[in-house]
Amino acid sequence: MGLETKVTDKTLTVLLDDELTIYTANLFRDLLAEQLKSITHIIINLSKVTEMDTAGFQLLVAIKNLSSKYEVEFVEHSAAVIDVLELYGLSGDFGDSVIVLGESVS
Amino acid sequence: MNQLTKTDSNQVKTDVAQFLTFQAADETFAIEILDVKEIIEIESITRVPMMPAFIAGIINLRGRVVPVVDLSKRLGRHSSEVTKKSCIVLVEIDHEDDSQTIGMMVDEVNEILEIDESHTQPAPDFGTDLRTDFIRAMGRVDEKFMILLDVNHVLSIEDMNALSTLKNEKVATPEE
Amino acid sequence: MSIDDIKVVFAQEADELLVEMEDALLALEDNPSDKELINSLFRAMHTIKGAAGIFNFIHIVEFTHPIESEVERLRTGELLVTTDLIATLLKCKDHTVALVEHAMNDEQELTVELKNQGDAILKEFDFDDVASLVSGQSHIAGEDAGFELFDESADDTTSDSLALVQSANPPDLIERIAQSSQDTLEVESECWIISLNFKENALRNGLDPLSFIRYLGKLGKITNILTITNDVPDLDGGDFEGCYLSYHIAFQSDSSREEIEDVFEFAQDDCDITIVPSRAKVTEYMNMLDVLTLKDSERLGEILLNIGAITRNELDKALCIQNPDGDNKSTEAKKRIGDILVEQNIVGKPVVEQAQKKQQQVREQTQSIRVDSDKLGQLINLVGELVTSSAAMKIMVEKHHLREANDVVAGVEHLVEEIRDTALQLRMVQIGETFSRFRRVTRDVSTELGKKIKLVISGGESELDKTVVEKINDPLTHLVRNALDHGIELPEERIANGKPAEGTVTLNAYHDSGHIVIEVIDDGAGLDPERIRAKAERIGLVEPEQTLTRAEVFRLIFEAGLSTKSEASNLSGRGVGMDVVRRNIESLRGSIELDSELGTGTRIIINLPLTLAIIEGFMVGAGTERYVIPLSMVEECVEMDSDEWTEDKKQNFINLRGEVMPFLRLREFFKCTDGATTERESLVVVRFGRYKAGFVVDQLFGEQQTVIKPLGSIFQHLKGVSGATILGTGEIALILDVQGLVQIASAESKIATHNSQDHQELHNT
Repeated sequence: MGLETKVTDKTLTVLLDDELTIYTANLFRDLLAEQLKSITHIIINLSKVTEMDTAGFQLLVAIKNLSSKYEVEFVEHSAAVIDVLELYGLSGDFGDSVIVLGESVS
Repeated sequence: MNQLTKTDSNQVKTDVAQFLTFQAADETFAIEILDVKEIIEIESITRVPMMPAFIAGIINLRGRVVPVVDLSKRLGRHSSEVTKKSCIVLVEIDHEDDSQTIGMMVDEVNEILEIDESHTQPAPDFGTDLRTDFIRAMGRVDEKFMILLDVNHVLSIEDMNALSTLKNEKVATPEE
Repeated sequence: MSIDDIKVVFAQEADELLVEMEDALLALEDNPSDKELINSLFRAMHTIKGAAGIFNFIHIVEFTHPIESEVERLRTGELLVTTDLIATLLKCKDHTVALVEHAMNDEQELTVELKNQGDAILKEFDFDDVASLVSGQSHIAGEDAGFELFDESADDTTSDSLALVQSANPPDLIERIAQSSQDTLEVESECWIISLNFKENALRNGLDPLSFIRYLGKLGKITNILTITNDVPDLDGGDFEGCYLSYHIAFQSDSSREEIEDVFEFAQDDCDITIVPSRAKVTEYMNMLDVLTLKDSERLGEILLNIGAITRNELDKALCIQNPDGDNKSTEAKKRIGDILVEQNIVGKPVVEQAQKKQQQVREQTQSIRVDSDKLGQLINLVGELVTSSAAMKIMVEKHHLREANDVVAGVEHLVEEIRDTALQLRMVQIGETFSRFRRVTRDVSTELGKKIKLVISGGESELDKTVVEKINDPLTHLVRNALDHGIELPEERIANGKPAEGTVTLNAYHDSGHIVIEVIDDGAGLDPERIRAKAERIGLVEPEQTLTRAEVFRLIFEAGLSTKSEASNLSGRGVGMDVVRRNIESLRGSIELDSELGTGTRIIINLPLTLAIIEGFMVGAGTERYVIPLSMVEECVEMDSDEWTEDKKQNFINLRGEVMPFLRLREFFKCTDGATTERESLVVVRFGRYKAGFVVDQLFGEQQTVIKPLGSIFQHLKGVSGATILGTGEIALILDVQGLVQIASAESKIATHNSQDHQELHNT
């Protein structure tokens, strides 16, 4: 279970280091919510997400929905994340790098 | 082939036909038995107004309505009174594609005679007051001649229709 | 949720997105570089395109796809926000609104107007301009491309642009757009649309939509998926163990409905599932329905189940909705299972309708049997005999004063009446089919003669005896052809006369007291009474000094010799053998009347008995003879010794309570020879259409079931008598042709009042 956060220059960078599932979603929510003060930019690094389910996906949606207040970026999507996003037809909505990665992977 | 045809026609010629003889207007007439469907007693004839006098009316023949022609009048004679002996001879008349039963009221039915084809001769051009087309032939029986009627002409529906149309117009437009 | 409901949801979503898009565009004017605004533009187009793809709204996809690409380029910075661009995008938004509206109307084809509008707007995106931009940037991008592509610090706009630039030079771009939209569309018309709406507890119950969708992927190809995330709660305070997602999935597969449903078997309690079959499947269902041989009384649900259009599960649910209490006794009007299935969007309406039609066919087949019309005729004849026999029995019982038999006789009489009505009903058919045949005639004649003619049919549901229908066809054809050939003028002529270029021929039928009235009406040139009169005088039908009413002049049309072919043009060509038409109608114991207004049109009214077999009659006596008047034509009977009516011997009409009408004394008219004049004559008032007349009779016998017997061809020209009937006594009574007699009565009364002006009114009363 891990959630590494660092704040530099009003940018919150979050590295999710665990499964992003129903078991962790609410936990991550709480951890994230604590960090949302005095920042303007959120970068979510998904490289270490080993597993994602629909609950986790919904959390990503919720994070993405913060984009009205913050600049939100998702980076380094792990294969597990890409898998879900593609299945849901939403890879485009969670950062275009996914597309490039997806292409290069396939 | 030739021979066969000959034999055939010979056969027809020598064929003996049966005729029904009856009285109408004090005269004996005959029609071929094959034309006769049935002979019935006169029970009640319903008059049909506005028709020529030779149409006696209609009868109920086992649920069917059948017209009856007063033969004497049809032949242009005076009709005699209806007696116990009076009969209706039912004949089948071809009309258009159909055949129709028509009753022929006669004074008395006599007998069925066999007349050899050779004992008949065509209708004379004169010597009878009947319309020649009514006469099929003259038949000789015991040295006496009697008129063999052509029922299809006597009871021709077209012909009778034409007459009733005339009659009808007189009724329908009395001012003329 | 039905497919229509889903569409409505789509429209609502699109609406919201488009409003958002407009707001964003307007805001962009002030903040051209606001990324979030550009994002919302992209989101709007992207989402609408995706959803439209799922619903196969081709036109929306085709239109929004290039826009999305343009907006994408805004996102990447490849394009800059300009006032012009905003203006164009606003137009795009408006046009999309129009397209969505169009799509809601279920119209497949785009109107030319919309299409052109759309093309014009898309042209405003200057792709040449794009080309220079792209090639210009590709250089810069190329430099960037080598390194730090996925560095978290890398500017995502750069990588975005790279992705696009790498794959796109302009012609290729356009091609790709075209291709991708085409691919999607072609594929999607072959797709099932599966809509999943998970309930909040789904995840907690261990059901993850992902696993179902993954599993679905094994049955076929998910060509498109729209995940609706609108209900996902805010990060702050949202419970992410709940499930807030719904999906529309375009799914290409050969699987059956059952198989697809099975995928979601475990999710059934926690998910609303709607499966809309692909068009290919719908076609398949339709074809199956076509060839399906149904067993008797198979129920709709079972039929649909058989062809695989629904699953057992869906049927059970629908039955549950139909009958929520599970008790079949409930007498309330239940919804039909087909309607429920359509409402629940389980089956498309066309499939249900087709199945219902099929069911109906089978029912008709099983509920009706083909009967040789000869056999039917024989039955009706026998029923006729039965009617007569029953009358005979009644007479016999009365004659022998068998009072104890009265009840039985009454019972038999009643039954016979019912049998008669039922038997006659067997042979009743609607006139509509006869009418419909004239559609083709109308079309052909119009084309042939260069006329514009519309055929209007009404009252096609009026029933009459099949034997009458068969016989009315020829005369009717004659009349319709006349109206088409000679009645309706050429379009130029019509316009010159201030009429619409298109002429109308109307066929109308309705019942009127035991009769059927058939009207053939045209709004053509009409007939000139003067000409008819002149012609009639020339051929000696009328005398020059004779006064004729308008109706009488038009009646001349039906006289032989008046309307021959050679005279066709003189009489507006009407009446090619109208006398034949009249004779045909009269042989059916009917009548025909014509009325015309020169320049306005012609109306022909045919009046026919409903049946040629058995009618209700009213028997009267004249002298010793008995006559039957069709009861439907008897208006009233008045006894002689009442002072309600008086006879004007001079003028030959009767005054009944101030109403003057022509009359016939049947005894005199029919020249009944025997039977003394009874002291108590009665007046029977008959009505025929507008005409009224009185028959003075010697006796009234009352109502009588009358089996009509044809009189035979010897009597075919006889006017005033239309048939005969056999009475219970075995005697025959003649059935009166009321119309013929009324005309004769009118004529006679007219002779008496020759040249009087008053009588003209008389004939029209």
